[in-house]
Amino acid sequence: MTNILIAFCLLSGALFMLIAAIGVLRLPDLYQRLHASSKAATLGVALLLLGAALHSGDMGVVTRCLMAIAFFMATAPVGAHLITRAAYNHNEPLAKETLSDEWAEDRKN
Amino acid sequence: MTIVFIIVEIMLAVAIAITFIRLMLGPTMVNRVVALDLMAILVVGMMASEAVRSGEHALLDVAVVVGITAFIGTVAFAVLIDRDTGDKQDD
Repeated sequence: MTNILIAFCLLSGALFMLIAAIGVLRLPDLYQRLHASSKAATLGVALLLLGAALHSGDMGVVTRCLMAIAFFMATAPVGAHLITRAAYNHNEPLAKETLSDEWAEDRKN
Repeated sequence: MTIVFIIVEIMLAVAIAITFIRLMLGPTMVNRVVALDLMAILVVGMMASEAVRSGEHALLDVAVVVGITAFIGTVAFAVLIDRDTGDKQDD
């Protein structure tokens, strides 16, 4: 039973990370690429670490895995936000499909 | 259980290869920073699956350190790119 749970965690985690990589390759502009990279990759690495925690059965290892998951969930949005702001200040182009750019309208005023 | 590890490692290896293509293509430096950040997280995931496969739980500590290093690198690149822009606006 535990083996099935571990296998499910590992497989779904790897699938989410593959989806994140495909998104980073195929999405049209930087902001959408960051969207794929920060959300899907965080969920994928959290699932993989959860699988490792379930496998060990040792309290110390479980604690370290949960700490690592909390660390990734805390830092991924911070890093993505910093990169996005730097890119926007650097005039990184938006995709053609973008519907609205409220920050640019605010800056004009 | 062995087939699970093979599938997981192949998926992660393909993901790293795809991210490397973006690292080479990436039209601007920011795109390359994003690809490098994702690559570090993929390496962390690969280490976690390897820790389960081999039973070597010390790899999880290494994975945490790789994650911290990647975060510091990303923040440093973001600050660098931001500062670059500030100089241009002054001119």
